[in-house]
Amino acid sequence: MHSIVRLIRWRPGVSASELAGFTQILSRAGSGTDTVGQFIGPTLPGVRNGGDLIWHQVFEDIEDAQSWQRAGAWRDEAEPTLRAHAAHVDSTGFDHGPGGVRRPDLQRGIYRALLFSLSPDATRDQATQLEHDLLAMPRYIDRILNWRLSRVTPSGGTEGWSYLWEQEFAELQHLTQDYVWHPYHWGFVDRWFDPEMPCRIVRSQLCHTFASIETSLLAPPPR
Amino acid sequence: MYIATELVRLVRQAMTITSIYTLDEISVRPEMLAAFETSYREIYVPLANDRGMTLEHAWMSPPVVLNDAPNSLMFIWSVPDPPAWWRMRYGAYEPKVTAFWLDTAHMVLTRRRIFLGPVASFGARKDA
Repeated sequence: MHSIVRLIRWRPGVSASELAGFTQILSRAGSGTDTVGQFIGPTLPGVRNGGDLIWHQVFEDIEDAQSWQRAGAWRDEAEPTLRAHAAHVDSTGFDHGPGGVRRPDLQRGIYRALLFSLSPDATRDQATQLEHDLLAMPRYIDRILNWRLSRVTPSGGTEGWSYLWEQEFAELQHLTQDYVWHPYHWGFVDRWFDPEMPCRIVRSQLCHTFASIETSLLAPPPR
Repeated sequence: MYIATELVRLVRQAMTITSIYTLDEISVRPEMLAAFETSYREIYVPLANDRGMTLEHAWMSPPVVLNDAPNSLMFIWSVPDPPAWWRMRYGAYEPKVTAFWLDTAHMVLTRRRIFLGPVASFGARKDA
């Protein structure tokens, strides 16, 4: 499976009704036969470089994603809307990486995504260790219900993004407290991200974003 | 019912939150020991205090200045809880903090930072 995730920050001064209209345009453009599924939702207070809106699309594979991006729905509707009304878009395309699903039937939960890029001098071994440490987080932090770590292939926005780290939680506090305050997080994994750490390999510019979801975005879609 | 459950959760949370300690272990070139200490105390310490960090100990190993071998300096910092840790952590993006480590890099042979805290039992391991 392949996904495209866009974090969209609208230009200032756009009215609520205009926003609803733009969201409808994106939703219509993303609901074609090429897509397996999509989620569009406003981000919640507390995001960092997380945009106003998360647009998350799932495709069968990268060929379907590319086909969709060549088609009219993107070219004539969604892309011009973003070009005219978005102040900034961070985007990623990625084949789904490793992860886990503890709650495929999650209802009314929280989706969180972290976009980050590696420093050019990060070694392959360091990147492998970082991937290992991130994927081990759910073993220590049981509030993480579903998760996925993907290497980003095409990307755009502030950085040439390297990874998208996605998680789902039952409620917001499980992200903002249980996850963030867990000692495995700050006492171990964060060394890869902390600019004061000699072993740090993640660049400072991050996108930390989250939104309310009705159903899981990370559980495999029903066949 | 919700209020009672939330109260229990907050009490349990408060009981588990304790200070978090940071250990900086820095091996300094012998001829630059005094210069490094001056920089650390005059530049890094005030920046760290601004980020909510308290310097608990400044130790040296061995506790005598060596003439022909590097000494290790150990700085133990504390913050009161995880939110304070994140305040400290976000403060690390302050350009003056980055500049301090860059400007003193030529004085430092090796450096590591680890985070410490008490645990109920050293054998209490949560793993799959």
